Amino acid sequence: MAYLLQQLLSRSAAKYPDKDAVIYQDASITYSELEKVTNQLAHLLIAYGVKRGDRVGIYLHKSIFSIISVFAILKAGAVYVPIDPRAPARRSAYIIRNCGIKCLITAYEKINVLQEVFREEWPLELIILTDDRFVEEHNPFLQTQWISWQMVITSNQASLPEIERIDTDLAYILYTSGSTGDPKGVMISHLNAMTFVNWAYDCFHIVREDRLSNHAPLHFDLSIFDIFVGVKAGASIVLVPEGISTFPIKLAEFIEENRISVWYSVPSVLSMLVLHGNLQKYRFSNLRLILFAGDVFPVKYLKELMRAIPQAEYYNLYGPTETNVCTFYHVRELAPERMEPVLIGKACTNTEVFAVNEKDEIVTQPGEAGELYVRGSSVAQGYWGDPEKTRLLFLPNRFQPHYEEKIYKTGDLITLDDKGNYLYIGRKDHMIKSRGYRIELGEIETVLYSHSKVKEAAVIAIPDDLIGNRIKAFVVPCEADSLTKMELERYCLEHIPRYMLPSIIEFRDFLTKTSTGKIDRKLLASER
Amino acid sequence: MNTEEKLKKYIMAELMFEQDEASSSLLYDEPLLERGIIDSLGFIQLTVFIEEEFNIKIKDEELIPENFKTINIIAHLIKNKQLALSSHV
Repeated sequence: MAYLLQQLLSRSAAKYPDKDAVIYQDASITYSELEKVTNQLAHLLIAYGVKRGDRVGIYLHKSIFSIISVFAILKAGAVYVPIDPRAPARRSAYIIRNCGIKCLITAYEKINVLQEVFREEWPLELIILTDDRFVEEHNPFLQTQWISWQMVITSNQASLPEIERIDTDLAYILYTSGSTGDPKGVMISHLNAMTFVNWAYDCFHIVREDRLSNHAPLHFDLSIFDIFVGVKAGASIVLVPEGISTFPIKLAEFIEENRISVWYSVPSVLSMLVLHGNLQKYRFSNLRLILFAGDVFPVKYLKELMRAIPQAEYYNLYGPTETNVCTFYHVRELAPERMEPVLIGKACTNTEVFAVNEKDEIVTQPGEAGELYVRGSSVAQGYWGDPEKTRLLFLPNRFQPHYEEKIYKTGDLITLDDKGNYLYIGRKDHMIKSRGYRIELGEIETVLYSHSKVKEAAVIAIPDDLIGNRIKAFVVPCEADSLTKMELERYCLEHIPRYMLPSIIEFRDFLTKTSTGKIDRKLLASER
Repeated sequence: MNTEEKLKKYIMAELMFEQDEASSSLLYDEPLLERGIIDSLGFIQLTVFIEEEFNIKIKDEELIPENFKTINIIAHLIKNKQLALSSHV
């Protein structure tokens, strides 16, 4: 029985050695090649000092190298930490410091960025470069060891490294927006991921003939499905190049030409496809399954998509990164007049979800609202290096007093329908979704406040059909007219990723307070 | 301002967050997509700007990388569409 993620690869490599495992643009790699090169890299990592449980960063744009890195790190008994290559350097540096990354897999072009942010103290001891640049010449850091890709592929140690690991060991850490201004690292064990992977594999009958798209970047948890369910099935994983998803027509062409059979992405990508993809040109005859998660899919676009691609099955998947996926709903025909969003459905196999109302009772009646809790082996181990925050959200199960176990408090409000399906209503706090990204409005406010010319700031979300939410910031400068919108935008971009940047910044002389002295965000939101 | 200048000003201000036009070296034939200046977030924004500013409608078939490679190429697309529009009248 496979109980570690990397075992899924070794098994498929034994069964389907010559099948394409990963395809990216004109390049591809077979299962046996992927098994071999990941063994080679894993051996080198171990030889150069990577120990069981060490965090190894992947700081790369999406390519076959990033998939190789994932499996090699796991095979070395370490924990992989994907770092968004497009995020501001300071945020990447925070992640590297926060979880103590000493070894990084990256490309030559990123070295300058790293040098810039780590001028004071250089934390990296080992760097693996995926491009064949000569590293010695450019090595200003005597204490850093370098591995070139040439060394990886010419290594004669190509057998599976013998590393003992168990399924409660960590497999990866994914960083998401944190309300205090710094991202927080969600720790996922092999068991957490495998619980989801096994369920998805069975539920969607993924087979080796399937061709799965991989749209989500590695630091986004949707990628877990594409990579590990795909590899478990011995299917081919086709990486969607970043440039292509910018152009809906190209994306439609990509799905058709690559004979994609399973698509998984955030709804906004599919909405763009419906609006500008010229879908009537294609039949997408291989496309049998369309999965979406990360946000509410506007029903009008979902209905259009279902009309344009009628043969596919549609599923809405729900689950914060802390729980992988915990509920799902099979979307069947939607009535033309239907306006309310699709349900998030019922719990996945081997996972329990329940909602708790304001009286702290479990919701059982249709129409009743409550906050959703998740229980089961797909629930994460908590936040890296933050036991306090972990204790706040990963709670002892107070509904079961006989032995200790944890439940995760999602912060999501739901109601129940008469068939036992859940419907998502909204958040209990200031977290929002925009383009499927999870954003803590507090994190943006913290960044605004840290600017020396900002006296007060409040950030609100404006619901938007296409992207979920637009972000609007109200800013009171210390001195009137001392600050420009562009100055503030540039400052924000040094600290937060592009998708978190407020699309509207409005300067005010003052912000109205509530009776408790807090900025009245409800009033600001109602002004529009 | 001509079409190229308007595009440059918009791209620099809204997609690159450059305050001072003179301080930056964005060229009219700078590869915008390759350099990541236009990404999927900025692309929608840019097309909305073009449609409103130049009073044209960009067809779905025209939303392809070939038409958005550089400022010069985008300007070419805009001018062709304006020309087609005026010759119909």
